[in-house]
Amino acid sequence: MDNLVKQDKRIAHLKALYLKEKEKRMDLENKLLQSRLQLKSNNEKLKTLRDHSRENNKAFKLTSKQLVKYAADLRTIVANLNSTNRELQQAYQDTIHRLVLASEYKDQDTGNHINRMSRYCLKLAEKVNLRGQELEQIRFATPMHDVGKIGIPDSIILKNGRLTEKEFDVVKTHTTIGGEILKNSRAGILKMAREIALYHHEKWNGTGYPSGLKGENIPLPARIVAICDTFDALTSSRPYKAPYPVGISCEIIKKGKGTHFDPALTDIFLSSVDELVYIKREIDSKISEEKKRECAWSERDIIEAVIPNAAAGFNNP
Amino acid sequence: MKTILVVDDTKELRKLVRMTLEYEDCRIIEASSGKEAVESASRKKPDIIIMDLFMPGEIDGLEATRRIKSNPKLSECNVIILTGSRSCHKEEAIKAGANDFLQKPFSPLTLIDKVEHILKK
Repeated sequence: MDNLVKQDKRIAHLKALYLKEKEKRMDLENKLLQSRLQLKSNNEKLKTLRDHSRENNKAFKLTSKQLVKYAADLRTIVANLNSTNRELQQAYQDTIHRLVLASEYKDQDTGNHINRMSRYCLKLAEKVNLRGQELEQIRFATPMHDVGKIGIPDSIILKNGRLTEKEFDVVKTHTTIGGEILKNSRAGILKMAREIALYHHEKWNGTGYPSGLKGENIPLPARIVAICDTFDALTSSRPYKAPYPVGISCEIIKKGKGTHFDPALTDIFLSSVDELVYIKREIDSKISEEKKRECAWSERDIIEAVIPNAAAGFNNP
Repeated sequence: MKTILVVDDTKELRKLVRMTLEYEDCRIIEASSGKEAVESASRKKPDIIIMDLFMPGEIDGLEATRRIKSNPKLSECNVIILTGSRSCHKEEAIKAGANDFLQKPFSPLTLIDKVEHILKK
């Protein structure tokens, strides 16, 4: 009997254990199911992310390829712009040169004058520490200093003898005429050219023309041109005079220091006169060489006979 | 002022096209799908539409072009098709009513040329 009771108790105990285990198992199965569901949802999310990233990647590649095209076009545009710019610049300078040629056409010996002036002024501008764009402007603006001569009657411009006072007053107007021709431009070169044309006959002490400007009120480029123009006139031959020697020319300019010319600029000029003489020789010899080459063979001998004398005249300071 | 509608599902590309054409004196509007393009076109009546061919959604570039071109109020509108596909969809695009065709990646200079050509007409 005792045994039976014991066995029943054991069975009850085992049953309870079984039920407990069963509960645990169901619990675990539930958890497993939930985990599976979670895994599935995670997988789906991952897939969306992957798709998204693939799409982004595709868009990125497409945009990159497109950017490469843009870079190529940019290069083409810059190259085209540069070459157009160069061409325009050349056309611009060429046009300026032709304007100067037109204004000097009637004057026989001014071709060299223009070249020399441009180089002299450039040299002096370098010495007074003008830089870059300003130098470029000096180079192209200075040759236009006498464009106003185009408005002076031939009877005066081409007159061989001495000018009367009245005639000289007319000559003076080449400054204001030049200023008129060159006014209202937005281009830096032409703005400077106008100042030079207008004021290159002003004097440091205020006795020049047309406005009687004094000292630093005269624009620097015009002061530079005043010295170089005088130096070139002195050292060149004119119908009425032989070229002055460089030494005497320098003395004359030195006398004008502080009255006619900017004193500081005069000193700079005097200390660089050797370089200017070098420029003069270079330009004058180059032009006589060109003149010789232009002639036909049969004419060459005649020219050879004339040129050395002319050259001797130039090169004999 | 002229109006240009840029249709592409890629935001970056729309921005590039916008910046390429914005220097012209014109207003640029954008759409990111064929459906949006058809709606926007009928409301804003653009002079030019730059249309991507392949876009997700129920209406692709070809179908959008077809719908826009069949709208009598939009008969003046010029459609330039853009496509990334190498195979030639030009004939299909022309059949759908497109005025011009440009392959991606496109040259911005060519795009500007085409747009200027249309604007000068």
